[in-house]
Amino acid sequence: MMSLLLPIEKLTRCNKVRLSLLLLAIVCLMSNAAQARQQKSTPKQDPAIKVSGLVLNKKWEPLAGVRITVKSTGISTTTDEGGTFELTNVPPNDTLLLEGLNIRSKVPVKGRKYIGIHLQVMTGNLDEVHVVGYTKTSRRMMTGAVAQVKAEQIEKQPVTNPLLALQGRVPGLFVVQSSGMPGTPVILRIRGYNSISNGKDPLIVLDGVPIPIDLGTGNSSVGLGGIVQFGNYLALIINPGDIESIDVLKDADATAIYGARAANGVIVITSKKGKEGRMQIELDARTGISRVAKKMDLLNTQQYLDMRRQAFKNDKANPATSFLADDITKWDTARYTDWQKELIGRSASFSEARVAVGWGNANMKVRIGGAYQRSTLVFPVGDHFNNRKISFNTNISIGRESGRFQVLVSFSGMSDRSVLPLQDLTGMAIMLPPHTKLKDSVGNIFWPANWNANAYAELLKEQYTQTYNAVGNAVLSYKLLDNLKIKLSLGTSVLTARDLQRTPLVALPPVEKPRGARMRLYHNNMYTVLAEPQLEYTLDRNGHKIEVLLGGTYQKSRNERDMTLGNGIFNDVMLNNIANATDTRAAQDDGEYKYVSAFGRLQYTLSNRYIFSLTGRRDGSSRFGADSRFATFGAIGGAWRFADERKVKEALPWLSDGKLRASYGTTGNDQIGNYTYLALYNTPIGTPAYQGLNGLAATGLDNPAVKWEVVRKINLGFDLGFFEDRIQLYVDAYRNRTSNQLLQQPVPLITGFPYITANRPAFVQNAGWEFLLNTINSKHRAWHWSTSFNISFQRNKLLKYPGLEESPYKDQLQVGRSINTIFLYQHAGVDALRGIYVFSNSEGRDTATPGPKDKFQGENLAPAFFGGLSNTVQWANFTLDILVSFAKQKGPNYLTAFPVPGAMHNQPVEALYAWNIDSKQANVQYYSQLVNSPAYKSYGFTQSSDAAYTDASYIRLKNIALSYQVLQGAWLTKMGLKSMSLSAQAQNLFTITGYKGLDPENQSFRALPPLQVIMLGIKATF
Amino acid sequence: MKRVYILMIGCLLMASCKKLVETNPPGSQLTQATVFKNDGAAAAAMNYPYIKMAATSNTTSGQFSLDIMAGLSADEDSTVIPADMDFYRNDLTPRRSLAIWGEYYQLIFHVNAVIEGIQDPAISAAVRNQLMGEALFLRAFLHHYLVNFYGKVPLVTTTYAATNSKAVRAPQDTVYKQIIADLRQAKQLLGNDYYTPLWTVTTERVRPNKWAATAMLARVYLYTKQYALAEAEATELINHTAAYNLVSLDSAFLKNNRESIWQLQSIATGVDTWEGAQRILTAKPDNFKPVSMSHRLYNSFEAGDQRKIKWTGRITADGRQYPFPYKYKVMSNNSTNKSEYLVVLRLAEQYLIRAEARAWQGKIPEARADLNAIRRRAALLDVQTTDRDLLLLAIEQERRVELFAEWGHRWLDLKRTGRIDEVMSIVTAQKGGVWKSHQQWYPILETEIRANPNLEQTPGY
Repeated sequence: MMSLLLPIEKLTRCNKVRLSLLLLAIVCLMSNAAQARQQKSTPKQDPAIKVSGLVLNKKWEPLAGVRITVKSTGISTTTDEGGTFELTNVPPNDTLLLEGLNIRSKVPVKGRKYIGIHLQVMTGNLDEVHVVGYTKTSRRMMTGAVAQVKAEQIEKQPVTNPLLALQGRVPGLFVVQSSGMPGTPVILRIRGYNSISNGKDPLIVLDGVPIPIDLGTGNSSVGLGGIVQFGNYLALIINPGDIESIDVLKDADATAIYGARAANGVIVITSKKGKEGRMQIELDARTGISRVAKKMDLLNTQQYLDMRRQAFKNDKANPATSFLADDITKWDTARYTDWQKELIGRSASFSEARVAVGWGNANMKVRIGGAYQRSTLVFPVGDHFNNRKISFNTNISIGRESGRFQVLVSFSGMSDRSVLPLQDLTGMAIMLPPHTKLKDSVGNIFWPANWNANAYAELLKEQYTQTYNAVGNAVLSYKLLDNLKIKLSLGTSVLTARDLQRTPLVALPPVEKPRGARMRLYHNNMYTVLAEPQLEYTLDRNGHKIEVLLGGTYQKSRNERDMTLGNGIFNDVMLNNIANATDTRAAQDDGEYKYVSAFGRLQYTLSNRYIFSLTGRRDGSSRFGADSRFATFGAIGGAWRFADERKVKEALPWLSDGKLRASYGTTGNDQIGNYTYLALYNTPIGTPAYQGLNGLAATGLDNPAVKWEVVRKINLGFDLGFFEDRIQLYVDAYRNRTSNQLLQQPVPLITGFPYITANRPAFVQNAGWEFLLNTINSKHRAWHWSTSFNISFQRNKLLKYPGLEESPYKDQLQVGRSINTIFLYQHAGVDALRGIYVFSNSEGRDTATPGPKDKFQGENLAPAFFGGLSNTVQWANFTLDILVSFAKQKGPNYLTAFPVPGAMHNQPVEALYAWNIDSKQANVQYYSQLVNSPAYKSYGFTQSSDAAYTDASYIRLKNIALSYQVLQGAWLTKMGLKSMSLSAQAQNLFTITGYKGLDPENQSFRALPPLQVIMLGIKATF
Repeated sequence: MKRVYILMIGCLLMASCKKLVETNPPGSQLTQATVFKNDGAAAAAMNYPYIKMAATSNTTSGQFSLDIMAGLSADEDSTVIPADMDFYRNDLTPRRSLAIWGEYYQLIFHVNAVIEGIQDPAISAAVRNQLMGEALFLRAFLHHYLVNFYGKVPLVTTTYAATNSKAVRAPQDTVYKQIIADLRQAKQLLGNDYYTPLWTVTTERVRPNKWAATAMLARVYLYTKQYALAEAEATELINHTAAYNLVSLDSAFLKNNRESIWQLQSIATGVDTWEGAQRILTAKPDNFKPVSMSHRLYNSFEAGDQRKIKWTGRITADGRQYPFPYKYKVMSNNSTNKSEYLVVLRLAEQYLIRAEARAWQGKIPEARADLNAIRRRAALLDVQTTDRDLLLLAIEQERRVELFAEWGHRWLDLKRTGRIDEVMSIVTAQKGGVWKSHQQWYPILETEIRANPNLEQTPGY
């Protein structure tokens, strides 16, 4: 496109004359010269012609959804997402009428076959392209509940996992980072927890190819050791910088087209595509540090020893004769180590470099992106532990948007390598006695007697992980007729991972040394092939628009795992090869998943105001028993754009957008692992041969009746825009009901196994409200300020469960309450006489030994509400973006993790000032080191009481990003630079919380909390 | 538009085509249907229970082995770690139980799967008989321990989960009836010789044969007070001198010795038997080896008993003495050349079974002769008493010093003879607890009862 070659500044000041001239120029360029000549020589013949064209907005961006009507014939069409349109039988002297939001315009045809139209309108986010269920649409025409996070927002966050960029930005999506370790998975919950015991993860689709959320989706008999089980696959495939948009599909209308896999919502990721224009190169580099933001306040050596001595005194035990009192009797009591500072207190580094090359013309568009990332860990061994990612993303499209034949190819690939310890040191950092000696004077590992947990030894146990992953997709489309397009989408993903774990002799406590050093070697391969033929039919006539999509899916996935254990290596040098082990064992596992379906979508739009859609999918999945492999899912949706009604427009001129949406439909959940219905026999891992023959054992109980879980979803919503969309409000109310719950139903061990998979007639309901408010607070030329606020309220409820009382869930679930409820004893403080914790029993009396009936205090651990507030301020060349995320929730506090105060573990300062015989008014029970003492038992009950599950709400400065755009300057031009920007970004900068623990988000005492990240970056465009 | 319809119909047809979602079973795993279509695979399925028991089972290994838990519960063993105190002081709660419940029922599932699977006509008749015999023997063996640890237990004779998950605790005599029926059938099906899993005769005494079934029958008849039958079975075995006779104390625990009737092959890495690895003390008991032999047992050997010299050991640490069972001499062994196998059934027990059965039938001299056969091997003088009750007490004591640290004999004996309250009310007090009679039967885990509300908790818990 000629227009895009011109400097932006000039174009924005175009007047109509200039525009016409420009369009003429475009026409000259675009049209065939010979045709043009012919046109000139026969102006009076007046045959109807075929006209195609392009509609652009004020910013020269394509405008989708603009209705174009031929004045004399009334034939009309709307522009596609590329802004292009095509009309046949147009009289050459006719006029085109343009209609759309804030658009009412006329363009004379003047015999042109190609018309470029530049409109002086600025469209907002309403017309941005959303990739939703095999089709593209805009927010304006959408009937379902869909939210989007775009590249600009993703880029502002210093994250390596793109899913983390969704945190606080998407109404209805709750995101939890499970650990601050690189590569650990992010937990995503769209609109709550639908399933009691099966997969709650959304379906993730990258460029049309479904990606497993992580390696845990199979029910493999080959486990994975180590702390990192490869994490979210998406983060192992694509760099966040190569992502154009992430769409989160929530309701039935948006998700039913994904049928059986869409029960928990769908996340559609679209990588960046090439754009028309001359070659553009982007270089981007960032570097920064990350660290644990908050430490726990723990006892110092003196306080610790006081506690321990008091514990012995309380138990009337003599440390001198005790088996577990070396910390008092033998260790150097003058030592003090702040283990949190020592073990997890380092600043880890992060650096990243990216390059992207884009180029395109009307026939071909290309974008190639590459990235390199390296991050280290907060553990105290320099940069030895690290994670390195090299990734590559390519998008090529061939053929015009409006042409007959088009090919789109997307490819993403990454090599990820990490060296990590086998164990997270966080647990040790908070629980090691402060005067533990773990290294001798020359820095060698020191093992105190009767002590076999050494943090420094843990650091010598390593895992080397290497993954090579790729996802590719090709879409071939051919226009059979003007309004009938046939498409074939072919996808594949190849995921490979190798994990080598080494436990050297030097890291073993003396008692374990005779068994020798150990190695483990895991391989995981997974591939998917996918073929989806599709047919698109569009009819657009006189204000009636019918869009039909029909398609089918054939998907086959295979996964293969093997594991080799090598024991008995008596020399650390020989840890280089598992063949050196004197005892090796192996296990192997594979599985196949097939999925086939036919799907269709019919959308009917009347006068751009009434939209009606019907979606259906018939799915078959190999994960179910032979008689229940197929099921039909479907949805119906509708929307009314009432703000476009003439009367509303006249009465409420300030109402720029108004739409009511409603949808109802069903989706399914097949996240149950392969072969659940079959009893499989294999040689269990680690079992040697007996009389030279191995054993075969069944791995589970079979149940051929295993069926789908079904989620019925209702969604009602409205979209409002005021004052030319300066204020936008989106409200959704939903109710999802899951039935046919497929439970890993615990069965008594007398059946031979702890579980059987069976469908139970339990109904779980998730209902909630979601609000998104976007405002443009200041639109001043040099001062632009916008705010986006979202908040989601959700409530989960077990509606019914016939037979719950007889079922094994009777103590875990209660009809009418959330399935995230944990039932707890009611803590009643310290008994002043006995000095131990007591509990209110079901009769309201205090007891130190509550029974199962006394677990009546239910705490819902799902968030009551959560959301985010983001502010973007642009001033001159500065842009400041601040995202605050928040959640109101309860969670397990330190009591659940720390052993009884008095035992040989450090304690938080909350454990100070305990009850003793001299001071009986205390909040902490008496210290005890004796297993099975009354205090020990009471503490056990306390860990399952409401005292251990307390407020874990937080308000967190999730992200702050400041960038400075160097727009102009002679030196820039001299260097061939188009633009340059500098940025500073920070993640998790501070948190307001009353949570008693390390971090209210991951609520863990074993895993690193999400880290605080500070980063500086520079970006240049050539 | 015709083409559209053709394609639409095509798409719909595709989805209803079941073949497209038929997956191969995982290549690396077999299914119930494929395992029992082949003699060799069926043999491997029968091999699994032995592997499980011999390799890393709660039956045989670790601090929570059947033998140590029973030894701690009774008067045989002592411990230094708090985690074992609830066993040691006879203070178990339904939160903690001996892990053999889950493990033995899992083994029973596998054994039942073999029994059901080998009915397939693809399995040859000879193989079916052999496997059926072994499976029935094991089912009886496993139920025998369950009924002796828990009292009333569910009797599980099918793999069908819907039935089993609702099973009730059957009365002991019902369980014993099934045990006896299984053993009698096993005795008929099994051969005289020891076999490899691929049906060649071997000298390795590591799979149950007809004589193992006989030995178990003798024991079970004794336990159910069917003394004539017990005597008959034991006699049959003792008379089969072509294969079995008492051996010297030094070789009674070596692999494939002539006294042993069934042993578990040594297949674990680094050890010959877990008994040797776990129980031979070289230092003061600690977290890793917390259990020693009780002084009560150590001091109960008569003077001159060679078994005290050959089958026990003692170390002194911090001025205290810690005796330990020393029947198995190999503590660790990293080579594949093993010298000791874990003895499950041996002939000495048969002599004591017959002695007791005969005593109860009033055959005092014959009973004395059997008892003295065992005493003579230990270089002890003959028992001379003619009083039945005294003789029975002498047999009890003999069982104590002959069968200690083997499969919980003492704990089981105290219960079946009804002497448990008398003995344990003293012993438990010495151990620092208070004897409550219901503690003779272990509790069932709370979670198990939640999963199957038909299961009643052991009375008293």
